[in-house]
Amino acid sequence: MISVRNTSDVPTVNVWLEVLQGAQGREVLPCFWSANAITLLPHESRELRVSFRTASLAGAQAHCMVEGFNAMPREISIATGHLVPLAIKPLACKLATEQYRGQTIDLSYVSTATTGPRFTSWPLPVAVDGKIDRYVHLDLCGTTPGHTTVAFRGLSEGEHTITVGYPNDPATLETIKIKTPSRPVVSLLPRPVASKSSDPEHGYPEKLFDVSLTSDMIGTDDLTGYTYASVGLHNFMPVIWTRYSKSVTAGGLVYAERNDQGPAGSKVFQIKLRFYAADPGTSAKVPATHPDETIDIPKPNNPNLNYYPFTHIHAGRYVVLQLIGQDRNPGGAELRLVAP
Amino acid sequence: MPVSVKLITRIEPDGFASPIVEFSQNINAEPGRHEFVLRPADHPELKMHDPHIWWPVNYGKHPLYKVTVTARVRGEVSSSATSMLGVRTVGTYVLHSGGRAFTCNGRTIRVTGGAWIPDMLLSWSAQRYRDEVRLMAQGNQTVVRINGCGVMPPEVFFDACDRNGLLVWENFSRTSPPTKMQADKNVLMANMVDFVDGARSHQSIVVWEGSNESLPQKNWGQPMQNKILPAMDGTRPWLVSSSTNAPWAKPIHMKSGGPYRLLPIKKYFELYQHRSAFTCKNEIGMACPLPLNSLVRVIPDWNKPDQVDFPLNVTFGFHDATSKQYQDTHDTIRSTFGPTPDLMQYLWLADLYTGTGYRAIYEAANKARPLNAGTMLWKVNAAWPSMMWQLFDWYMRPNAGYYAVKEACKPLHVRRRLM
Repeated sequence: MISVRNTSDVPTVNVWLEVLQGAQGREVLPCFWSANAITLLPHESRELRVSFRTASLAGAQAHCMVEGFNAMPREISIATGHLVPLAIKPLACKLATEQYRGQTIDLSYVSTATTGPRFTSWPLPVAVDGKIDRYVHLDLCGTTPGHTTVAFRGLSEGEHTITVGYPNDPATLETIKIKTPSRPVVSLLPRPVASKSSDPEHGYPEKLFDVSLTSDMIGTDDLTGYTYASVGLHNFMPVIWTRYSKSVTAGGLVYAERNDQGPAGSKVFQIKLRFYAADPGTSAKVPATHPDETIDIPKPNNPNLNYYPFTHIHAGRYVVLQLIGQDRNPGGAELRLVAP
Repeated sequence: MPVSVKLITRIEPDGFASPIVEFSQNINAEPGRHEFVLRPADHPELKMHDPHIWWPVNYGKHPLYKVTVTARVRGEVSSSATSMLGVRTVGTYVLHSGGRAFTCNGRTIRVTGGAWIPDMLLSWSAQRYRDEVRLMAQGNQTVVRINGCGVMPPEVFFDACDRNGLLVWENFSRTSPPTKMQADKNVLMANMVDFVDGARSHQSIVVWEGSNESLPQKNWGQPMQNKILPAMDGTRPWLVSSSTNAPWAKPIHMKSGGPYRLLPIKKYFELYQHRSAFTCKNEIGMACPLPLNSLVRVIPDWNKPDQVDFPLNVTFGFHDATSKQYQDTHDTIRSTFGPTPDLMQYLWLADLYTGTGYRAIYEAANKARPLNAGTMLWKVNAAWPSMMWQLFDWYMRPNAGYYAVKEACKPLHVRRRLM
């Protein structure tokens, strides 16, 4: 019988309990739990029964590991009921890239109390200016460090303090300051002369940009004159193909989401673009003029026009772009290319 | 030369209190194979009075009687055989909705569980078979469908099913459709007759099924249906196939055909409420990515993701992540939560979806009762380390789907009203 309690003020989901062969050892399998992969509400506790063959311990002491999507890992010795020390320390926390679009931080941690061959997942809280923004997971085993990259997009202008680690365990904490520059004034490119959308469902991702144009689903917003990636009832991630009257050079795009043209809750979190000098919709294989451009939309459902600069300056007369979002339906959206 | 043999039959309860029955009879045994039948008409001791009844998982206990027949020649024990015996009846009928239902001791059994397949190397130990059966039975699964595509589980598997109350839906050899290559009829027949001879004494077997999805080849299926099974068994229903009707057999009233991929949760409720194919569904499932500590054992380059489809790479593909049905789980994770920044987050979310999906399947099936009496998964166990269709993996590590099914298939389960 093992009792597990959520000691926090937030729910914890998909909590797994495992019996291990000694500290950080392999999981004892098979293991017969009365329940597992449980959800615990704040301060809720549950009692679970477990049975396994002692031979499966391979001579080691039975330990029990608790892990959750947003829970700090805990290990106890079943024989003594005592907590097994688990500890990690940061190796590096440094700014990797800094652009107008945002910043990325390289993070590296190592376990300082690990003995067995098991990988333990550490969900590390990442706080921006003291408020928890997300959890990043590091998978640590033995003395092998774990690495991950944390990307920040769309932070407000000015300086921000990023804190990684568990507030109640100062040894795990790392702090770094990042700065978001001021926004440039954008200059919109002229509207394209034609735009079409296609269904990539049966070809994704190989045919992502190898478009087969089937239907005309692009509109124009009368008020702003911006091209409209409206797909209405069509339940897919559209590939939008756009033709300009002459070759354009773009350094970014402006984008906003308008839910009046589709079901509410459409969330586009990424836009991918590729530029072509000639028509990619023809049967001939037309090479792209540049590598793909990927724009992350940090705050989906934002009805305000935001400017997203590219990492490269792109030129071409034909632009193929894909909106990637929840339910594969971006609803209504406004986007337009911006001069560099 | 016939030999005079004294047959001593002993029926004793295995682990519960009940009178022991013992009687003997002298026979003359011919050389070679000799079948001798002990009939209740000749031996009133064989009529059991108030026996302890065998029930499947969640419907009662699974008491077994141990039957030992000893042959003595000139006072010496010449041979002895032991078999476990459970007392129960099984049957089947068609619901008003057109779906098939199975019964045990006259009671309609809620069919939960899924297909079981043998391992890729056919090298499991007896303990492994017992463990897999125990996992299924303790997961509130009432039925297991043997889908060995011709490979029959060993005796120990059926023994474990008898002891754990796990009903067995025995799918015979998956023979080719008649238009394709045919199996040698005589070899196939001898093989299956030998199998039925051994398996028929296991009361866990609830139904014989001719072939998975397609029809069994006629020159084997017809004699099996019309002569051999009625003569050798006659106590269990026969279904010609899991998903195809034959003009020469009774309608099967069930469907395979998935979906084999993750659907939006509400979709399962719609399907079970409105589609006739879901009145008796014997194959449904979704992608089930491995948990991290299983994954690192089979995908050595797990930390070198592909540039396009994080966190997958070619090795993931070798382990079935290239399946079209995997894409739905992959897309759902990425489109709901955004591109995930690390593998573990991806796996947690995948596990969460697996649990939510499987729970929805059985909650939808529960809600659709009495339109639906049975839902079987494709599939329960793993033939090899795979990212698809399993409640527990190659290392017998369950995923959230296993415990979700266990929860949804409890005799008393509280469900949130989704629609």
